[in-house]
Parts: sequence; C-alpha cells; structure tokens
Amino acid sequence: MKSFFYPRLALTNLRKNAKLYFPYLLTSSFTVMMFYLINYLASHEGLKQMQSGTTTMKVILNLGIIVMVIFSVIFLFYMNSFLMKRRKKEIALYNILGLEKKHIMIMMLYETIITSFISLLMGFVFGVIFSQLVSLLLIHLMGLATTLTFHVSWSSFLVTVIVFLPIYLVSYLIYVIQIQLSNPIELLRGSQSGEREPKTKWLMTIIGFITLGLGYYIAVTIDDPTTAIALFFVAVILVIIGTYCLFTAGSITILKLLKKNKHFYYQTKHFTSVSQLIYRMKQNAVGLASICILCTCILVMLSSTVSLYFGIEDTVTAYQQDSYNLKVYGYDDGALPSDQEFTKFYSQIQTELEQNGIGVDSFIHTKRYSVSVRFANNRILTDKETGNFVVGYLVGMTQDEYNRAYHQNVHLSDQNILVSSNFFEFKDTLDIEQQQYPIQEVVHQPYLLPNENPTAERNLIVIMKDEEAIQEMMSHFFGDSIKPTENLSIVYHNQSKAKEAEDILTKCLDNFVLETQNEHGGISFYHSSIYEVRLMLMELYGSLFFLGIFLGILFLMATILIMYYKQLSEGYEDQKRFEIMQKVGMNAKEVKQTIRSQVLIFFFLPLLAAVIHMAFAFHLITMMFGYIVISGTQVFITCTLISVIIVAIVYAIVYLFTSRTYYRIVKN
Amino acid sequence: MSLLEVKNLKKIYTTRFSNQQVQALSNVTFSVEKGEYVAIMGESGSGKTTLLNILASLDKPTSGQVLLNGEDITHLKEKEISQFRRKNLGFVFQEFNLLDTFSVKDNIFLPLVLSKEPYPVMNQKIKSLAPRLGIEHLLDKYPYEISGGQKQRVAVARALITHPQLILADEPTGALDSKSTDQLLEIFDQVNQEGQTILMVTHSTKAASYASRVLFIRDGEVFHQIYKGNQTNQQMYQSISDTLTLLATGGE
Repeated sequence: MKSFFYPRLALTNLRKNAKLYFPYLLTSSFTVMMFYLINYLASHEGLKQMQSGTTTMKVILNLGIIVMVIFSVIFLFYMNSFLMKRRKKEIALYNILGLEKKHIMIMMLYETIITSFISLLMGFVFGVIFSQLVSLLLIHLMGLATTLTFHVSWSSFLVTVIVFLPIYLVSYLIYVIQIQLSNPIELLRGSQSGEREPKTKWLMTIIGFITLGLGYYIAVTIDDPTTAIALFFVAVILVIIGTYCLFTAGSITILKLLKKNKHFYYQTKHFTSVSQLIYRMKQNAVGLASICILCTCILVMLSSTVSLYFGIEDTVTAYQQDSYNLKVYGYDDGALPSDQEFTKFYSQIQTELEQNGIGVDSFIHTKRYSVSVRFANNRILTDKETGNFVVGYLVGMTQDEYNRAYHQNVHLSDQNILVSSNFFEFKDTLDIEQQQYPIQEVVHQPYLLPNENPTAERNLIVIMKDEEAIQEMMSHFFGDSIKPTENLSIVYHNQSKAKEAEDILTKCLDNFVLETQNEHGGISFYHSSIYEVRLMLMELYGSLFFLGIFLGILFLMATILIMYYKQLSEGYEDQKRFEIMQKVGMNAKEVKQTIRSQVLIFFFLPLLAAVIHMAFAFHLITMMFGYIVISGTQVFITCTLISVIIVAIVYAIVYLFTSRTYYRIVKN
Repeated sequence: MSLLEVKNLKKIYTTRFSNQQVQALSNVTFSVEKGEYVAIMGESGSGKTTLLNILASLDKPTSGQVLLNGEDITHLKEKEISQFRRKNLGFVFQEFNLLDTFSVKDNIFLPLVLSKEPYPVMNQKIKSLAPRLGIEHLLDKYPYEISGGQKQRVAVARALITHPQLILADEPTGALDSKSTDQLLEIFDQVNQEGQTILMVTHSTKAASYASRVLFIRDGEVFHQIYKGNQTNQQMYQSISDTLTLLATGGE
C-alpha cells in the first residue's frame, strides 16, 4: 500500500493542475516529437542515397538539430520554472500539513518521472506516426520523386532520450534546490504584498530609442552586400538591446505620460487598462521583448527560406539560359581538339538527341577568348587602379567565328568592333587602357553572352577583326597570350526530357573525352545544365525551406505557449481586482471589454514590434540575399507578407482561446 | 413612501450535490426611511450576509420584493444592474476592497469613471469630499502606503462620491483597531447628520450603538428592533447588549 502512496499523490497533483500540466505535456511531447523527426530525417539511409552525392541536406538538418537542442534546453527550463512558481503555494501547504521536504521531493520525483515518461512516449509515438509524412514533405520540397520505406528509427529515439532525459532531470534538481531553500510561510504569502508602481526610467528609454534608431539606420542605409553581411550582426544586436530597453522602460514611460493626460486617462476604456498595464509591463516586459525577438526570428526565417524556395525557377534561369552548356578548355598546353573532332562530336550529339525525341531548338558553338576583369562606373579598371569594383568577364570573339555561328556577314575594319553586354552602357568607343575602340554596332544574339543576367554574372563581349586584335586587347589584363575555349549552348526542343538529355550528353561527352585523348593527356572541360542547377537548388533551398517551416512551427508554438502561460498567471492575479471593480459597479460587458483589450495589447504588441523590425530589416536582408535571391524583392515582399499573415492568423486563434480562458478564470 | 422597502423576502439555497435545501431568509420585512441610519445585527449564519447581497442586487431572492424609491430591484435585468448599483448604491466593505494599482484618488474616482463623468466634475467632487473625511493629504498615495483606518475612509469616500441613495456597509469596522473604529463611526455619524441614508450590517455592538435603529435577525427573520430615540450612545450600547444577551439565552 505504502509504496503506491507517492505515485498516486503525484498523479492526483498532475490531474488537479491540469490547466497547467496539459499545455506543458502537449508542448513537451511536441518538442520531443520534432526532435525525433529531425533526427530521423538526418539519419535516414534512403534519403541519403537519393541525393546526388552531395551532403547539403544533411548539413542543413544537422544545423537544425543543433538549434533544436539549444531551443529545447532553454524552453523546457523556462516552462518548468513557470510551473514551479505557480505551484509554490500548493507545495507550502503540503509542507504545513506535515509532509517533510524529503517527502515532497519524492512526490515531485514521481511527478517528474510521470511527465517525462508521457512526454517521451507521446513524442515518440507521434514522431513515428508523422515521420513518413515529413520525409515525404522533404522529398517533395527537394523535388525528388521516390518512395521511401517506412521504419522506426531506434537510434534517433535513443538520441532523443539522451538529450531530453538530462533536461528533465536538471529541471527536477532545480525544483529540489528551490524546495530546500524555501520557507513555507514565505511561500504561502507569496505575492500578496502590494507592489510599488514602477518608476519612469528616462535613461533606459533614451538608450532604447537610440540603439533601436541606430540599428534601423544601419539596416536602411547600407547599400552593398559585403558590408551588409558584416554589419548585419551589429544591427541585430543594436535592435535587440533597443527592444529590451523599450519594452521595459519605454513602455512604462509612455503609459505614465498617458496617465498624466487627465482627459485621456479618466475615460472608462482607458482608466483600468492604463493603470493595470503599468504593473503588468513591470512584470512582463522582458518576456514580451523575448517574444518579440522570437517572432522576428520566425518571420525572417520563414520569409527568407520561402522566398529562396519560390525563387528557384527565377534563380535557375538567371544562372543558366540555355538547356545545356559546355566549355572545353583543351589540353594542358591550352590547345583545343581539332575542328573535325568537334564537328564529329556535335553531329553525334544532334543525332542522338533527335533520335531520342528530344530535339534541339538552338545549337550554337563558338570559339571565344575570355578574361576576368574589374568593372567600375561603366568602365574597365586597369591592373593598377583601385577602388570599388565588380568582377565580370570580358570575352573576345573573331568576326569569322561570329559570322559562322550566327550566319552574319560582318566585315570589321582595323580597330572597329561589335559589342554586346548585359549591363554596360556603350558610348561611341570602348576604352581599354589608352586604346579607344570605335564601336560599329551593339548587337544582341542568343547565347552570345555567357550569361544574360547581370546579377548572376557581368559580361561584356567584343567581336574583333581577328585573333591578333583580340590578343592585343587582352594583353592588358593577361600577360601571356590567351588560349581560346570552345563554347557550346544547346536548347532542347522537348524540355520535359531534360533527364534523358542529360544522360545522352554525358555519354557523348565521355566518348569525346576518350577519343580526343592523346600524348598530352585529356582535355579539361566544364559543363552545366538547367537540369543540374535546378536539382542542386532544389536540394539546397528545399531543405532550407523545410528547416524554415520546421523551426518556424516550433518557435511559434513556444511563443504561443509562453503567452498562454503568462495570461493564465495574470488571470489569477487579476481575479481579485475584477471582483472589486464589479462590486463597485463595473458590468460583465465592461469587464469583458477590458480583458479583451488587455490581452489584445499583450498578444499583439510583440508581433507588431516584430513586423516593424521586419520592415526595417527588409532592405538589409534583400541586400544580403542579393547573391542568392535573383528573383528580386517582389517575391521576397510577397513571402514576407504571407508569413506575417500566417503568423497573425495563428496568433489570433490562440488569442481568442486565451482571452476566453482568462475571462473564465477572472469570473470565478 | 420609504426609501427602501423590503417585503416578505425569502431565500432558499439548494446545495450543489444534494437536494437538501437551506433556508437563509424565511420572511424578512422592514423599511428604511430617507435619512435613517440602520444597523442590522445577528449571529453568524443568521442570514445577514444573504440579506445584504440581495439588497446590493448581487443576489436574487427566491421570493419577495426589494423596493428602492418604489422600484423593484429584484427584477432588474442583468444589463441594468451594474448601472443601477453605480447610481444608487455606495458600498463599504470589511476588507476595504481598494485596488493596489490605483492611487487613492483614482480609487475614489473609479465609480465616476465607470459612469463616464468628465474629469473637471470629478475633481470638483473630490475637492469638496476629501476634507470632510480627512483624507486630502492621502490623495496621491497608494493603498499599500496607508493604514487600515485610512483605507476605510478612502473606501467611504469612494462610496459617497456618487451621492448614492443608500450606503450599504458590510462589517465596516471588522478589520479596524479601536481608534480607527471610533474615527470611522464618527464619520458615518457625521455623514448621516448631513442626510445620507446608511444601512450597516455588523457584529459590533459599539458600531450598532451609533445607529438610529438596530434590527436583529435570527433564523432568517427580523426578530426584534430597537429605536435609539433620545438615548445616548452608551445607553443604546446597553440596550443592544441586553437584547443580544436575550437572543443568546434563547428567550422569546
């Protein structure tokens, strides 16, 4: 009999405190589930094999695991300290009723064992149930088409237990220490004594405004990506400091100013709200500021990963306009295979593509001379110049080659040139060092430029009389004589057969490499295709997107739970207050209204602040992601707005639920 | 017409877990004239608190009427009750019931703010009221900074500021020391002299001895009443204790 006393007492306690423990168990299980899931995915053999030999996904998921461990530790400790605070009175009562501290500790040990067991069990069960679903989601996001076998990952379970058991254990030890240090009478009285009205802290308010303003200023004024990345963290830290200062001191300063305005303050709607908010801010400002930061994290994470993902197609076409591109650099000494060999190779490709129902819309091969240069202010910098610059390519081509590839009939005299570029604004002449080359015509031809998109790559192509002229022009940037490269651009007719085309081309290329091998060794080459680029981006951005959603959900859940708990404890504290006000003549409707507006402010202030942060961070983020989000700010704006709306909707649902619970508590 | 008429008031509670019925008030009838100072006495469980709750429109009787200025308050709609209470009744509680988040001044303003009075009017009212209760130096303090007696005077000010028809006081001296009790009773006396009708529920013979009439309640009925008439407070005190002794020894 006696041996069952403590477990039963523990169970009764948990049941009595269901309003506290149900959300705790729910979120604790949820956290365990998420942790199991991400471990499951990271260690999944099937997923590993599916990838194209890279480990991008695994690296990103492992990053997620690290974030989750840190998050779980902080979050679960916070929740436990909250539970303990709320239960202090009850525990003091047990102490006074005759349970020794030792007995209370045994009782609480059983409680911890029960809650940990339930959390781990539920987390594991739901983890197993949802594992197939999330792996399908991940596969889908990465654009892979395979079915996975369903299995239970015991190793992931073991890792989960290894991470979470110590967290529960340490929480219990913190309980024990608190009980040891506590005095029952103190615990019983708890927070009965009246609290002083907080003082206005002007200094902190001013510091808050200055740091926040500075952070915003940095975020808005930066206009090049390199400094954006460097100053990003400075701005983030300034904004975090500003947020904390303004939530703690600024809010009280503003409320006090409102209170000083008699005509505003002494109105039914404002009277109770303002005076109560002053006290609540004093107690909760830090919590609200943390929630604000958490919300900002969610928004940044969601909007950036979502816009990366939905920008994939734009990014693909920005990096590669043709379906397939091959650059042959030739042998070690720079010599290219003979024209006959190329012709044979090309006709083989064309025949094969035709036979397999793929066909070509465009098949252009050119011999070109390429050198990397520094562009600045619509001009090419010489070797000795310094200053701001952007790296790009200067490409040279002979008029014969141009005429052949594009079926033209151009005759350039002496220094005259044809030009084409994706960013350069041409004048009458192109100036390189001291030399001025008269521009005969600015031309546009398909796949003449290595890349059409200036954000991806800056190109300037120059068509000259002959190779000699090209060598002379390029000698300014490259000491030795430049060796030509053979460039092939193919556009498939039937885009849907990109994968087959890829296989055919790889086969032809292998064959070509083998055939052209001679005493100098093999040729070196570089090839890329839309198919390949898309696959790579899908894997990278798809797993980032997955992680964004995954962590976004987790953080959102944490935010909501913290809010819920805060409101709950507020409710208990306000019970007496509203009782008095009802006695003095406040009616149920007014009570409801006051509660609603208070909860509203509490809920949406952090979100509102987060949205403002986001608005200011917008410029900085687009600047930083400028390299990778080629599709531009439009997609990013849309994604940010959608993220904000989703978060707001979830928030609103929980708000309605919370204010109802709060009202019920107050009404009792 | 009397200010307050209570007719055949009956209140039966049914406990939640059984069908057992508890009769808190069996048949209470009395009236209070305008300007009267009435104390209601009785032992614990006699039905005092139930009676006061019904008078305060916080509870509904099983049967019977409560007429304030001829209007039956037991039939007020839920919506009208709060407004009615704000307009016509002032409350003084044993536990003061001041809000810690408000300054003394704001606590007194609370019923006025709920009635949407403009600030200058409220200011005017408090300026004339505070000196009468000796709390003008406390207005900017907070409830946790002042003594129990001072708190109760603030609560009285909060009750008086709306110029209610009737002040309902529930054991107003219950949490006060003897000196503060005297001060409070003096104030009630003075307010009553100025024409304020007061109905007070109390255990304290001393508090009751200040009233112009004392009603004794036993087993849910008005059992006896004493008029002060021209008696001094001491004489009244004696009459009350005699009656209480009689009640306690069970005489009819």
